[in-house]
Amino acid sequence: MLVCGGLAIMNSCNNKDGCEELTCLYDGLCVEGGCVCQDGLTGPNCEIESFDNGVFVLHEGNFQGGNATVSFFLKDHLTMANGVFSTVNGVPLGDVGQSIEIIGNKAFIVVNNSGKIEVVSLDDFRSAGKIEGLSSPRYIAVLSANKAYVSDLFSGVISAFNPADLSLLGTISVNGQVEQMVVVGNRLIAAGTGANYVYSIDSNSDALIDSVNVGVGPSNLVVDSNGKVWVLTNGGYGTEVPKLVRIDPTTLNVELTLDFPSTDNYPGNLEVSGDGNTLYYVDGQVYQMDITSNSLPTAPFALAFAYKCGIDPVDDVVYVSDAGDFNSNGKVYRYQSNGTPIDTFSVRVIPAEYAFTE
Amino acid sequence: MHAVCVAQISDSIVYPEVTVTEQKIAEAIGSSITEIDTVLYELLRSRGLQQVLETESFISTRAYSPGGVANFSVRGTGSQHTQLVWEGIPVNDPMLGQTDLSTISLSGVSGARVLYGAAGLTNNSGGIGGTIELMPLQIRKKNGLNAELNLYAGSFGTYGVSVQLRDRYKVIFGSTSVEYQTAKNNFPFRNLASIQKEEKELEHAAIERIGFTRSVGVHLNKRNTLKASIYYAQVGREFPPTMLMASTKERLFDRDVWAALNWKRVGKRSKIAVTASYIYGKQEYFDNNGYTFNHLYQANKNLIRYKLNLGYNLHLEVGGDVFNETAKSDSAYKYEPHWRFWQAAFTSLKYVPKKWVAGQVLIREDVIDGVFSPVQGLVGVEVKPTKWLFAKGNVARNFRPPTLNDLYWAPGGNPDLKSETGFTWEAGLGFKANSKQFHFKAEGTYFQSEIENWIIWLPDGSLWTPQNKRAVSSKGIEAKLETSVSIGKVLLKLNGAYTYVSSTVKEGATETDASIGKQLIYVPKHQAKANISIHVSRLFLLYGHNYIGLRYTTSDNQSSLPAYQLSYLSFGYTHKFKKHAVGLNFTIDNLFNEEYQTIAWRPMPGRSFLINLNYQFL
Repeated sequence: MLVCGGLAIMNSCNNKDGCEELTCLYDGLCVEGGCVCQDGLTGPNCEIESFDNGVFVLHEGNFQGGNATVSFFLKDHLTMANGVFSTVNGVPLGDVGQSIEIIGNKAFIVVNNSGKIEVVSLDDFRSAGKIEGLSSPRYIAVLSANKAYVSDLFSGVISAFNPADLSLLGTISVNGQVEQMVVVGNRLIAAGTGANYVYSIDSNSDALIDSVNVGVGPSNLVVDSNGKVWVLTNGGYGTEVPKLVRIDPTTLNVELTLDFPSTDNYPGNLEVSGDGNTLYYVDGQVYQMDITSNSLPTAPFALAFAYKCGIDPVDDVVYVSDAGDFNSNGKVYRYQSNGTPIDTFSVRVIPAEYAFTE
Repeated sequence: MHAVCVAQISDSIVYPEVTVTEQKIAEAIGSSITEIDTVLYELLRSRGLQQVLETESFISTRAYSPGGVANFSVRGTGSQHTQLVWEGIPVNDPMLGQTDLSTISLSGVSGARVLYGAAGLTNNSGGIGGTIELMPLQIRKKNGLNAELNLYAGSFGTYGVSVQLRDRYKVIFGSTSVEYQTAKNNFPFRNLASIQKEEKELEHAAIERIGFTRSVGVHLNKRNTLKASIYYAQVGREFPPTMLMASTKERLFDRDVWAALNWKRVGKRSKIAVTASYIYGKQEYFDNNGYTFNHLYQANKNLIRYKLNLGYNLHLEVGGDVFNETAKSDSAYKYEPHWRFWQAAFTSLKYVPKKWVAGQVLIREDVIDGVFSPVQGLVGVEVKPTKWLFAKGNVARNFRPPTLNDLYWAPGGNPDLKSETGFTWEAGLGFKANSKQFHFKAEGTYFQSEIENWIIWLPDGSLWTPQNKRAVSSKGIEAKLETSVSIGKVLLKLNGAYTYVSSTVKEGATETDASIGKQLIYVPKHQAKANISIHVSRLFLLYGHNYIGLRYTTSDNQSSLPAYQLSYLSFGYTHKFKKHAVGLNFTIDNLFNEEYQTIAWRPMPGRSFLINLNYQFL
């Protein structure tokens, strides 16, 4: 039903002489019956030959807009291919792309308002199945090739599933909404943003064994190079100042609490560098902080307006999502880890999360 | 979905008696108005206000499903830029600043008018796009009782019944209406989001509406009239999933009560009207997980209007409003009630000779919680150099304050928001010719609105908050044609309308905002409507055709929904005997089974049928 630019990103809408029957993918141009492709794209239709050494950009799209999309950035060729899922599979991804996780040779794309996880093969990005029937899935934490967890905003459970055969293994009841989770050893640490607790769950028995209150609205979690868990709270959006808290995942003891200056700060999207020594978060702009620092940074890492960011674990390049007015195509800015801008790419509506391939 | 028709009413068709009502709000001189055609209104009334306006006016509407939440655009603006008025009282939800057209019960409404642009400024502020006025049931002029019973049934589990009574005994008059409507809306559609595009049936899309109105008045003496009116409507709606969503359990239950007490005194050269009203609205939203969210608002709105004929064709009007609005929400405001105290005053001077030129100057000021609005005003002129030619135009400045949600939503509300301001002007030219057998009217209007401080919700860090970060320029033309020819017992009518709207972002949130220079989403640039009907004695046959142009779904205009065309065919017969009339109408909607969406990934029904049985005691 949608016209050009809506569903699949093809150039067939701009056919010129000799191009009527030819579809050039990913912004390829049809010239005299042949496709002129972006660098790194091959074949008569400009296809992606390999999904190695690249970056997936997951776009939320608009709530109930059905325009969640995935872009793939070919690092070797500096080429951004937009609309990969719909181009390869012929159907739209779904409603609100929430998060993306790579497990083995598959990408698991959590599509929040469609209540599903779309699973694609990294060989060709073709659909390899889906996990459906979830209420409001948010984030995945991976224990092993045969066990992972997905949090849920409204169902009151964390679901365990087998990434190999996509079967559901069980559920863990928790109080309130749950956002991000991390696995440390045999513990699943979950941010219970609804009940203001960080939960500790035994990943062998899937039993809830402990919890700690670190502030209002714990939402984001990362693990640093020392195996410590950093928790970012949202402060209940005005209830109290947000906090960045370091806890010991074994004892759940709070080791460090850093308060944001005021309730007008709304930080989110906590990330960690590949070596685990540098934290990043977004509060209008991206901020960078060493894990040994005892204070929050006062100046942003990059000036660009940021909705979210992602850190390449291999080369520490920082990918910054600019969602513009949240109803138009956004941009991805790349920065070196020292804050030097690299380049900018046009992407789709509300670029948000990132996943990196080797 | 149908066509525009501004009718000459055939004597052979049974319809409620219609007079030019004194309940109408005064319109500005030099402005554009659509009076909803009475015959088509009666035909479409059972399908709701959205359908009536889509068919009959220059308004563009969109709904999440048939009977679902319905938004609209007047002259390229948003739903929040148009005020709905009942008994002269603006009744938009102060939390959202708009009216969901699907919540309105039309059983106690005799018709509607759309006042475009600044035309509503003579009654209310806030209508930068326009004002929609609901007309109450007409007052019976002689002693006795009129009764009307309407029964209908249609495709996809649609059933409804409505009753209207109008009574009068000497100086006491009144009207009563009751409505019940239900629809399953379980129509088949192709799921365009699936590989096989398989056919599915829309699920969880049922609606149920109950409406009640009662009005009672008394002519205290020759000059004084007292009238009390109450409107009640409740609508329960299931929210169907989009083509990309799993099944849903979401439901919304709306309840509205509008009550008004009006005293009117008509003097030799003056007229005074005082209205006190109480407005109540409650929304209960049931989400997928069993949670219920309640939003409640109440208001008392008091208006006074005084008109004085100064002589020399000069008419002075002064008016004042005192509104108290309060809203409470368990989710949006965290149970904290919020109030707003709103006062306004205006004065208008009209020069209305019987001859060829008329003019008006109006000035208005609103004060909200002690803060003065931008000064509003209007200058309008109408010229009739000949019997068949007329020209008109106006220049106006209007404003729209932030909604209570904009100010107080927790978290994210921004109490520092400024009001939106609109500078609008329009100019029109028309031609009309009438004889006993022939009616012809053609009219074209150019309009332009420049809206500053447009409110848009954007994230600040991870928090969404409204900001005055956009300016919008909307311009376009509206053209309409009305013709009818009457030969013996045969009446033939042909009507058409075309609208072009260019509504673009002039200033964005940033200099690189991709929406700058682009058409606002879901505002079609082109709309065309036409209908033709033939009435032979008590039989009628009506064919209507609507064209809705491409609509963008993203603000950079990179994605869109394609244009679509809808047709409908309706025919009926009315049998009259003494004081009784029985009519039977049959309508086929979406005659050519067009597959279309008014909102992305929201399917709409294909061909459907409706049969309507009407009884009137005249």
